[in-house]
Amino acid sequence: MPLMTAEDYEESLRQLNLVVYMFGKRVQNVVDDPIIRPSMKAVAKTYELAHRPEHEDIMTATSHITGNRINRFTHIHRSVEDLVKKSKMGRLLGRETGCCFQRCVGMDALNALSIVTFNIDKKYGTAYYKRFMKYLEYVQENDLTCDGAMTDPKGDRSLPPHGQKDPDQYMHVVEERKDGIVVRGAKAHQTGAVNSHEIVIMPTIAMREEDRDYALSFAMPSDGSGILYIMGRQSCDTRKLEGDTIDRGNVLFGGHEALVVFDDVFVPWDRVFMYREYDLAGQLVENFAAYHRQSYACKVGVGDVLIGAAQTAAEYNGVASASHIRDKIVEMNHLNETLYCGCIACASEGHREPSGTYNVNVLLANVHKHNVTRFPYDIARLAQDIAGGLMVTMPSNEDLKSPETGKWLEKYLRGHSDIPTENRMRILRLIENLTLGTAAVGYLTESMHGAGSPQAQRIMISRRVNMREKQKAAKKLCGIDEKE
Amino acid sequence: MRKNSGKLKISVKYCGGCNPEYDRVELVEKIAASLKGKAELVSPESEGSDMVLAVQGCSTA
Repeated sequence: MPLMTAEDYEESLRQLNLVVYMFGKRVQNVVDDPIIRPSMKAVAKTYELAHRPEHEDIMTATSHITGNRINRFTHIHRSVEDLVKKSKMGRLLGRETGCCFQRCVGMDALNALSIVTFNIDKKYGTAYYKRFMKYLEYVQENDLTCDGAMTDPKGDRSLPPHGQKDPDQYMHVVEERKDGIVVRGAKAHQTGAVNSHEIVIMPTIAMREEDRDYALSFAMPSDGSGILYIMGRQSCDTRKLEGDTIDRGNVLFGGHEALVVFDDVFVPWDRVFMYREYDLAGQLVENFAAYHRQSYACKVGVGDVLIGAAQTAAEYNGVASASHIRDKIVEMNHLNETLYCGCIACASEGHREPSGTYNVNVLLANVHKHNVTRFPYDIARLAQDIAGGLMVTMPSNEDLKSPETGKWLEKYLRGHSDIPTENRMRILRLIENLTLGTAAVGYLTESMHGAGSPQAQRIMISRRVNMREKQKAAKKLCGIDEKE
Repeated sequence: MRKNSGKLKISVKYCGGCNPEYDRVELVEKIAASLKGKAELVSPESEGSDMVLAVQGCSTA
């Protein structure tokens, strides 16, 4: 069954026995929990669209292992065209859900491991690549959602993993057995963790020999023994407990993050993809980061939604034809399409790695993600400017429905006379959701820190630009000949 | 080109629809309605189609 339906996916999650905590209590029914469920529906969209004829060309691919049609989220990129389609898929799903659909991180982990396991074997004569390919086939054939988990809590940032006062601040091996290893630690900010079937662990930084116990990569079923999840809070999250209310903004979808704790978890050898090869930890980090920085193509799709909402709000407010509003909408589109240029460019300039996997242009992927740390904030500011202050002073859905207050809101919150007051409130709530509510987690702060904070991209840009060639070009044009 | 039934069999192949400039599904529904009785729109996997209708969302697709 290489392609699950959205219904199959939801049912498959019900079969998991995840240990999830939220607001200090164990969540008994994860799939139906009103705060978590919208995020599950966003992942389910990745399954649904793969079955739709009008999207299958983007959403599916042919497995290079089995030849079967598979969901692109489980695919290993075999060409530049695959990389370009990945970027386009991100925009498509961002626009369809208006939030983080969570599944890209696993795809990026799988692709990075397809490169690095091959390179480890080449250097050390190990057999990780074959082991990884067997695991990949299992993921593809069962159409699984994987959480690609890289970020350790990191403790004191000035100290390396082995120098931490608490050794568990980075995931590490605590016991080696004949049949596998026992690991301890945690992964923070894990997007979509409780909507995943598998967790794919990777090291979080480049490492030295003293850190060899921390140079680990492996995969575990998400409900493996010793794994527990503590859900992160999102601004305005409890509005989801208010039932079918317009105050949620996005009434269909959402995202989530969790702290994932590994409390002495046993990992069998056939699921271990890096074990103490500390000198290749940095390579895995860089490859994953490059792919994941490309994945921020999704923010272009979310930007499409926010721009559409801003235009609609302007029309409902009766100001759409004002020249400054038109100019602001142009500016929002300019910023959003500039982001699109970056994610298409890093894919179009991709290359083949020794394993046969195609990788993005690392410099351009970092430039793209660096733009993503800035432009969504500018787009959000313009959207709030256009929306007006009512977006944050508007009374609740309950007040609109109340016989005592509803008539006054119908009367005084109406904009354009042809537009129902409720529609005006709905579009303003969506802008609120995207710019300071639950979806702002994904559209703004995740844009800043997800796949690495801005400084991480600046370091990579500085490493990857060919400064000598630029200097050579300049010197040639002004007649400097250093050979003289 | 016409099959014995007298109806054209047209297989519909969509682009992926990452950023379409119009509603492709709505257009295909309109085409299907306008060809009702004269042609049948089928999936690309269907055998024996007379022609393919490639539905592109933009000039890049």
